[in-house]
Amino acid sequence: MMRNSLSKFGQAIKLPGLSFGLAFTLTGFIIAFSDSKVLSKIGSPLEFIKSAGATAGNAYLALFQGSIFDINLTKSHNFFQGFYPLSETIVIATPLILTGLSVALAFKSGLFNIGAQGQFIFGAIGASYVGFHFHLPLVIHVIAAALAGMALASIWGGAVGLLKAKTGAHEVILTIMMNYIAGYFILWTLKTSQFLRPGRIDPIAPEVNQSARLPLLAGANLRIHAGIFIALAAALFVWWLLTKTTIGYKFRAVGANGQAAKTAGISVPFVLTATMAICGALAGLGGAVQVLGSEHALNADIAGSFGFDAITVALLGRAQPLGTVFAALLFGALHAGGRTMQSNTGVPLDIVLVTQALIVLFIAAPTFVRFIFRLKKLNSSAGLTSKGWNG
Amino acid sequence: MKKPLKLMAVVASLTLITGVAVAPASQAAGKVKLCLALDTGGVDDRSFNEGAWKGAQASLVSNAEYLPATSSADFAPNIKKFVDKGCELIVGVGFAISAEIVKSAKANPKIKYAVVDDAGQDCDANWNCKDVPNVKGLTFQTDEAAFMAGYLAAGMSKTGKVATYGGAPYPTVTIFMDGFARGVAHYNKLKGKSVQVLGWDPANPKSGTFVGNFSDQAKALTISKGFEQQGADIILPVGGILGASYAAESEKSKKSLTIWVDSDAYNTLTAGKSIILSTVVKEIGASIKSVAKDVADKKFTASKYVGTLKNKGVSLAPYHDLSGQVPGTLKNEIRAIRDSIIAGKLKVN
Amino acid sequence: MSLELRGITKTFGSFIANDEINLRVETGQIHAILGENGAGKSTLMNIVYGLLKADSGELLVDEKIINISEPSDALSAGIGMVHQHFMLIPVFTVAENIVLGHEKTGKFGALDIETARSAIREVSKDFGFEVDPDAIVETLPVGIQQKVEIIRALIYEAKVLILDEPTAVLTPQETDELLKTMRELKAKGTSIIFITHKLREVREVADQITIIRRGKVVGAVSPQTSEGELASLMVGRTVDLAPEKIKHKVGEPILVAKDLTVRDALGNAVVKKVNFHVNEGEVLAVAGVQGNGQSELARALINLEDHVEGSILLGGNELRGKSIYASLHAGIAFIPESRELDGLVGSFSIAENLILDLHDQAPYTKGITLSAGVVLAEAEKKVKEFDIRSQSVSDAVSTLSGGNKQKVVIARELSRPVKVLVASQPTRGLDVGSIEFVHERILAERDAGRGVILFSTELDEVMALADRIAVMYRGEILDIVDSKVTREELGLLMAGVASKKASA
Repeated sequence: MMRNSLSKFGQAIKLPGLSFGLAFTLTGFIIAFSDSKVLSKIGSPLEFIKSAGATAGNAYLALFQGSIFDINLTKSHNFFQGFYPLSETIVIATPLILTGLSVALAFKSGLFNIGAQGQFIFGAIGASYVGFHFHLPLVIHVIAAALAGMALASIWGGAVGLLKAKTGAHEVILTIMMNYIAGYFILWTLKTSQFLRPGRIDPIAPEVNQSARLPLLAGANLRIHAGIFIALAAALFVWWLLTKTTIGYKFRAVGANGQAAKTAGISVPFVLTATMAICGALAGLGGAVQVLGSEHALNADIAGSFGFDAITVALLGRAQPLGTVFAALLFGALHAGGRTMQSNTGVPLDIVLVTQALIVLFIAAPTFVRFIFRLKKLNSSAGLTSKGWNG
Repeated sequence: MKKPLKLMAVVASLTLITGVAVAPASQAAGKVKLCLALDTGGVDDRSFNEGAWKGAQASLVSNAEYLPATSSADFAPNIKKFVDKGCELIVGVGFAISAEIVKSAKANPKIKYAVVDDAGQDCDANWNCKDVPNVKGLTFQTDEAAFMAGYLAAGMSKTGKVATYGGAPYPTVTIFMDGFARGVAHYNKLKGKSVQVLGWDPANPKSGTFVGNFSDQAKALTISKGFEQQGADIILPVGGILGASYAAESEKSKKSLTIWVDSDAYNTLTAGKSIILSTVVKEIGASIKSVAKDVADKKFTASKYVGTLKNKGVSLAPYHDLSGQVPGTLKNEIRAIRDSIIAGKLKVN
Repeated sequence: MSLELRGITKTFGSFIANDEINLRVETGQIHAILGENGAGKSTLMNIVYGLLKADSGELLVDEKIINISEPSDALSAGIGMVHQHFMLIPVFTVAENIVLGHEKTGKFGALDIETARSAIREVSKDFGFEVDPDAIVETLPVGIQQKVEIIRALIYEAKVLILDEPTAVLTPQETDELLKTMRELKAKGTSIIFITHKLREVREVADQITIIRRGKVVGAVSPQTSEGELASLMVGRTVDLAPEKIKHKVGEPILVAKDLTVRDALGNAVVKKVNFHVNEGEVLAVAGVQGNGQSELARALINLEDHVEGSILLGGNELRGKSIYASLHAGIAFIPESRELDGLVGSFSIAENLILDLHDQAPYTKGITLSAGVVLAEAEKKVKEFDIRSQSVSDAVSTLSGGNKQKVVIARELSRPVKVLVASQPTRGLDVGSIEFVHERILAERDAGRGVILFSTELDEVMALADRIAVMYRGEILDIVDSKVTREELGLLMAGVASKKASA
């Protein structure tokens, strides 16, 4: 039993793992070949290879230092502070897990949720308002703020499901358009007197009250906050919902064959609306966690690209809750490490985006990876993206 | 493919074990370690990130480095990274990063900070703002130069209509538009004309025209074309690279001339140079050089740097290719206006 | 041209798909290969056509050993194949489809389509086909599309034509037309390998019959062999082809449809004011050529159609306008036309598919969670009761054979309290053994006093099972006749000629 599940796990991570390795190898070449110092040694092959290896190796060392552990920080501060990079990785991964789950859950119902970005924004707005406007007791305040964000985002997301169910409009178009609306809505919101921070004229809301902040997990010097537990709990919830509940069963049935589900009496409109409402709540929780955990104040750019990266994360995680968690952590590490890579070695942050893109490219082209590694059979997730479009 | 992978792994692990990490740039003694925390948009945005970075690189008294931001969530960790690296002067580029700069400055009183486009003050809920001793705000009276640009546009317009629009209604954007509109009004008053400004009215800011962001060039082009159809023949888009598509298009259609903002478009644009009438220059680079020098000379103060026509922090760029078309008298009038503003005789706001 | 197969063996892992198969097709002969689904017919033909490689054995054309490793080898040896699922590009014209893969270009690289056009006209004339070279393939009826495939094979000079289950997708009329074409091809010297599991067609058209069971040749017989014998050879045991109609008690009307009209999305009536009823303990068959509104009528009975007028009374209660869920749980069991599309969730396990309709009811659910143990236990029971053959109830239903898939659908639909069973083409694409099983289940439901509405385009099936037969033509029920009607009368009705009784 144990062995069986282990090999199943191995099977599941084989393709992402290989894509990951391949992307890193290629990126290594790009790093080396884009360095003028390396290129200047092209005359003598041995020197060239040594120099290329050193450049790429240093870049990856910096990536590691920036995402997991940095020995220099233990010298200047204390041993504990050496894990500052890991804390950063988790801080970035936390909202990404939640938006990734939002996209992954939608995939399971056969929906392609491009709208995590907009849902994130509404979650952030809701949490921010409750966070700075009200004065509530310690634990209650943070819960109320998170719930407010989730509720707002859930309505925003659920509207997509309802519109699709009632009018047949495609969720991809709906969510893209609603992302625009959300993007402009937050701009407008931040200009209203309710949200404008006193003393400021630029679009930034007041910081949420201390009582509404998620507790820091490792002291004031590390930003890691309780949001990671919320994200992990959400992943557990999505897993439980999908595999153990009747609602999850309905979601999966409609996702895998909507026609058959309908014929057997499952209400497709209900599934569409419920899925999108839950997806909205998840992405909205991401926005809430970002405001209550690390940023503390709402600004026009609060969503960054968390909603869009979520699509990649969900794909990389093969729409599985656990996979999504790992994928988000990987993206968090790349993002956090990229900062140190740029700062310490001068390799631009953009190279991290190239790596991310390559990983996704290889995931999306399993045949190619299979060809390179001469693998006979890999159960691919390539069908995943296309399935979303059938809706 | 397998072999390079292994090789890479070996190299990576070797460096890990031996701890051989090559320091990026040799640290010349005595120079200020100057670190730029950029706004979103990248280092090559042909606008204030780029201007700031160029200025920092040109500073002779410092070694400069930067970190780009992919979203506002990067601001705090970027600044923290600089703190950990031992930067002596950390410059936040753009008002959006101001809050994080102030926060970091209060926690690290030994490090000097500056922030572009913001006073860098610490304000409480009742608008009581106070200076933070180790933060210098770098701000610009761009309306002084924009005033000259407005006068120029009014004098050059054949249709009697000029236009301006912005990326988003931020104060750093609307100050350009204010100066421009007042410059036009000044021309009308002196000459008894009635040149119209489309897209902005300082008395009614809510009616202003804005793209909504600083990246949607297609939308900016649409807005520009709309103004051209309403008869405007000189347009001032305020938003960095935002107007690039429009400038390239206008070079072909010849329907309107463009006035640029921030850094002289004649030096940065690839297409559209021939229709650039002038640029309202905001010398972000100069301001950064100035504060770096202050730090090097140990003369740093928290008092705000304000770029003006007087200290050449703002200026109106040369007319370049179109110089022949600008009448000599108009050139002289504009020069006179500049002198009056510098002398404090003419108020632009 | 003659074709001979000697000792062809093909294994997939430990599974032997073809075991030492020998057969010989003479020039100008129609050689039928008969076997159940999964017997190894398709594997064998894919070897002949070069899509698969045999482990051992040889192929002889006109007594000479030839080597075929890909379809182009087969084509140049004069072997053509019409696949069960057509290899046509729907949005191309007939002529464009025919030149596909053989594109010749004229001046300036322009595609030479004119040669193909005239070739199509020529072949069409020879065989009396009416095929327009410029028609877009997707607008053509299935029967004509099949002819396009045959024309393609003929144009590329196939002397041996393999037809893989060609009648599975055809209406009775189209089937008759195809059989006629096959005879004409034979008369002109083309050899045909006819793969099928339909006994009547084989006996009608074949010169020689080879029967394959579990990868082995189990018989080479003449077409004079009786259907019963053929079926027994195919299945490996005695088969009851025409279930005896035992006397059964017919009760009161249980489902009554009044003035039922179904419209498509554009507002066109595809079912026009039909009236019928089915009694308890009775099979009402709805016959008709495919595409005359039967599918829509069947779907409308459980409210799967969106635009329905009229009335559907089940035991006196109006169902029209209710939800699908309400219809199903009011006592209608529904076997949809397509198992794969409408009946099952392919990636779900057998156990999960068995509760598609009941997953939120006791005992399968506790609160909001599924009771996995109960689901599995109930599935085990159903698998035994309905003889669903699989390794485990946790296997994905998509791994099952067609017959076993249909058993899953039936098992599920009969797991609710049923008053009326609506079965839409329940045996389409099934092998003889499975058809027998389905027929037995349908009659068992009838004998238990339930009403059965059987939608079928198979005349044999209709004749064998029905107590009364309603014939649909262009959305209307032309007539409802009793089961003593002859094949010919029924055929006329299906072609739109109203019976005397109806017109009187």
